[in-house]
Amino acid sequence: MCTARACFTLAFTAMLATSACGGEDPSMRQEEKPLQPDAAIVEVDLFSGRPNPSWSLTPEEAAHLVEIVDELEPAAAREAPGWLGYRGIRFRLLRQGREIESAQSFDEHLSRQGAAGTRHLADPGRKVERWLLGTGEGRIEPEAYKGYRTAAESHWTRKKGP
Amino acid sequence: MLQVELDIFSGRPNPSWILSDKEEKELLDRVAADPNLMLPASATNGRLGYRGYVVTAVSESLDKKLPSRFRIGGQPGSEGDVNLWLLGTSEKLDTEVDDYLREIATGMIRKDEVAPGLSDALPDKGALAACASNFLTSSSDFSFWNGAANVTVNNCYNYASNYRSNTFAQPGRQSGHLSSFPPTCSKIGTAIRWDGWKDVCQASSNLTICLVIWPSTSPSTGDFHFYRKCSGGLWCHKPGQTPAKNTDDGGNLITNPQTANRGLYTTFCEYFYVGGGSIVVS
Repeated sequence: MCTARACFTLAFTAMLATSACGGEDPSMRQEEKPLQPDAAIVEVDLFSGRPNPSWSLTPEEAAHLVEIVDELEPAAAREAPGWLGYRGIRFRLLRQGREIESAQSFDEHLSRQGAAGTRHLADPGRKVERWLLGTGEGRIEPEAYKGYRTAAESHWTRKKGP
Repeated sequence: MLQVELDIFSGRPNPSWILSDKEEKELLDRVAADPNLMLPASATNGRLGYRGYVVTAVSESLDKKLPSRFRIGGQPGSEGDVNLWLLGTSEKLDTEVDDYLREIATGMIRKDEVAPGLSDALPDKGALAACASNFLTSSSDFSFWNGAANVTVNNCYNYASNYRSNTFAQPGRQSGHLSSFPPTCSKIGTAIRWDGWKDVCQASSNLTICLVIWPSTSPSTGDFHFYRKCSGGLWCHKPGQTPAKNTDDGGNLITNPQTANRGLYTTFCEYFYVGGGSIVVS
């Protein structure tokens, strides 16, 4: 015997247990798991008129990027910068050529747009932003990389913005 | 062979260096494109600090059109591009110009570019004309530009042209006259004239824009940017993939793009006009 409330709780718990044991449709379970990227494109948000510099990451680097982003803690929503000059790093995660998620990393903050909507995360010490910028070294011309790095570091030390 | 002397010291001798063949050709090209860059070698304002460059032919040249000694830059209101480019040519192993000296000179060059109240002395840059028929879009409602589907695929040139091509428009692409990088006032100005922009007000539904440059000597950095006159006596712009807006980098409403806080885009070029309320760009 059980009260109505206790019976409902037991039934719900049993349903969860069945689900956890694989009692549901396997294809449904597959859909619930976030898609893993097989590539990523990194873009330095720097210019106004000309296209921003960008480069591609390997599947391993894309997987590492997801790992370090997943480690970030939630943060309050913040508006992305709209000034002239260095505004952070954008990236897009791709799977079989299709974008599955995009994000922008700026000023110790990361906003992530995917199937789950927009999530705001804290990036203390610019860990993700610095890692993303670092992936450009060796992929683009050294003089260009130096210029973009200088623009970023100049912003990081100046902490620009209205 | 051309020697460049950085006219900057008062007591000690100025540092100098020899241009490479490639640099010499570029200087001659720049001077040929804009002979006003050349000044008499004695044309200095006598101030302390950066006063421009004295260029001297140290060997006989087949090109007899140039004087053997002339001055470039160093005047308040000078075109920053050539000043900064020449400074960049000093980055050679055997010169006395170090990063510190370059930093000092760069600071004075940039200050000269934006010296207030000097625009009247710059007839080649063009003054803002009072046009009779102005096409002014809202200075507060930017929903046409800032929606998720459009904001990242249209840039400052799209906004300036009032044409949402969704292609991150480039000056000269529509007319088949794309320019090379790094951008300069001259190169971007030429490209947008090919696209159809004019130097004078247009009779019907006139759009007024201005061009500014982030000067650089490297092809991988430096950029162009545009502001467009919008309603309420304000100027509006769209920095790259970010939303269109009516404020400058200091967060202030833009009433004058020449004095607005433009961040790295320190070179103010000139104003351009087009009729019809918009122009096709791609």
